[in-house]
Order: sequence, then structure tokens, then C-alpha cells
Amino acid sequence: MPVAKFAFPALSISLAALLLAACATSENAQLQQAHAAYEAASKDPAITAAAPGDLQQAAAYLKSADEGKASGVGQAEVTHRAYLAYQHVQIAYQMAALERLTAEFRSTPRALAGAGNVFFETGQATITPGAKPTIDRLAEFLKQNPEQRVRIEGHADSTGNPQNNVALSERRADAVKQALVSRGVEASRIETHAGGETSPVATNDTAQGRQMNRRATVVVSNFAVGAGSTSSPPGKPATDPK
Amino acid sequence: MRVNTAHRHYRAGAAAVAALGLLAACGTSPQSSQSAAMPLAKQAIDTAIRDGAEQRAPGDLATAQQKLALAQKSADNGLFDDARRFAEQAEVDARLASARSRTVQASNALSQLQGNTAPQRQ
Repeated sequence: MPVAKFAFPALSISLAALLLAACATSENAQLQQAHAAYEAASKDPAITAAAPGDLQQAAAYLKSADEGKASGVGQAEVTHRAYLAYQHVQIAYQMAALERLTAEFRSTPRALAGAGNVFFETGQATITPGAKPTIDRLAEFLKQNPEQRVRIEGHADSTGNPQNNVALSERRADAVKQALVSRGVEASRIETHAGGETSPVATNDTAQGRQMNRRATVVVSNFAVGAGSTSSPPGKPATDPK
Repeated sequence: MRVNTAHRHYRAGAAAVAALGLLAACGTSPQSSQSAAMPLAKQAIDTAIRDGAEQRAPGDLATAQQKLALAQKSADNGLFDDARRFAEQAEVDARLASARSRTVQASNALSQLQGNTAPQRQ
């Protein structure tokens, strides 16, 4: 659409010519286009679920465009209503894309920027005061993302026998789970796993390395949520016809 | 909406007169509804800007802003049906700008997350 940047006479002629052209068009291409766009969108379950309101508005504008055409309201007004309908369909596509991206965002496993590890004293499975801010952050994150599930993997350093370390790592995972539950996170969203001493992140030859290995790692992901996979190729608003 | 080249041969004055006649014929809506449409369009544009449309949906936002300006010009010139239509279109264009901006934002956030996802298992 040409945008008038000139003074009144030119503007009025430009607008008038525009509307004249619209009035003189025998077939209302824009109305047909809007109908086609609406038909396609209303058959897409992702769109009907994500943007019922915009689809409804599009339908209402289409109806008023059709009625206007029948009652001779003028081509300019018919074209205008068709345009509004078409744009509402476009908004509906965007809403569906947003919904899909949001779902994918939530289901993407992520590291919590250093907040995913809780460390323990040798042979202990007690949450230390130092670990509390980490657990507070995790609990807050989980409360803000109610669909998010977590898997807590307990680990141990190589001190002691491997059998005991599996049990110890399980108690560590459970301790973190209980700490989250006591902060209001539903136990049903938390899965635990005993990793024993088999997954060190640092050497067991130094005190510092062993400290790194006495940990529970919180993995945020959507594992075991529903039956189907929620992921699809990223960055492709496949529902957007543009 | 495209100006048909077939109409080029009309002399501008004649076209304007003829079109204004048709405009009057096409006109159906009361003047009052255009006065409601413009504030709604302004509001939608403000919302779009708050949604980051200047960065993430500049095309849709510019269209909305240009149509709002045209609505104002049309109203100033007494073309109230045009003013209402431009304002109503500006509003829906701005709403599309908002929606597109939020989608782009979500897409960016997702890409960033997927790019930053650190392996959790050693």
C-alpha cells in the first residue's frame, strides 16, 4: 500500500484513486484470500487450540465482509473487513508458533547456570547450610515452571567401598529431593537416581577433586512427561505461511 | 490493495472527483466509530512497542504507525470512513506486531537455551 507523505490534495487523490481501484475490481481478491487463509488455519488443530479468539474474530470479520458485499456496502469496506480478517488469521498463526516455542523451551533440558550441583561432606548425606541457596533457587525455578520435572542424580567419591557409595549417593539424591519437597515442590515431579562412585567429575586423588565428586546433580528436563515427544525442529514456525 | 495501472489514464482531478463520489456511496459507518478506533490503534501500537516490536517486528510496527498517521490525516481532511478504516487496520497490524515480536523473542530464547545447554552427565 502506498503511503502518502504529501499534503492534502495529493493525499486525497492518492486515497481516492486507491479506493476507486478497489471499487472497480470485479472480483474481490482480498476477500477470497482471507477466506482461504481462514479455511487453512481453522483446519490446523495447533491454531484452533492456541488462538480460538483470533480465529473467531477472523470469522466474524469474514462474515461481515460477505454480508457487506451482498448488501452493497461498497468494495472499500468489504476489502477493509477482509483485511482485518486476514490479519487476525496471521495473529492466530503467531500465537500457535509462540505456544509451540514455549512448549519446546519448557521441555528443553538445561543446566541451571551453576545451580544444579549440591555438594556434601565425606560420608554424609546431609544438606549443608552452604547448599541451601542453591536449593532455594532450584525450588523457586520449579515453582515458576510447574510443568518442569527434575532428575536428581546422587554421586560419591571413591572413598569407601562401591556398594556403600551407591547407597550413600541414593541418600544424597533423596536429601535434595526432600529439601525441594519441603519448599513446596511436588514429590511426583522429582525422580532420583543413585550414581555411586562411577561418575566422577574430578579426580579422586585430591581432597578438592573428591569434594567435587560428593554431589547431587539436578538435571532439569521433561523426561517421562507424557508418552509423546514434545520436541520438534527448532526455529521453524512451520505454521506461518509467510 | 493495489492501484490498478489501468486507471493511470484517468486525469487526477477527474479520478478524485469520481472517487470521492464513490467514497460517499461506500460510506456506511458513523463518524463516532472512527473517533474510538484511533485511540485503540494508539494503544495497540504502544503495547507492540512494549512487546519489543521495534527490534523484533519492525515491519509490522511501521505499517501500523503509517496507517495511524494516515488515519489522522484522513480525519483532518474530513474523510471519516477512511480514518476509521486506517485506524482499525493500524490496530490489527499493531497486534500482529506484538504477536510476532513475542514469537521472535521465544524463538531467540529457545535458540539461546539450546546453544547453552551444558552436558549434565559425565
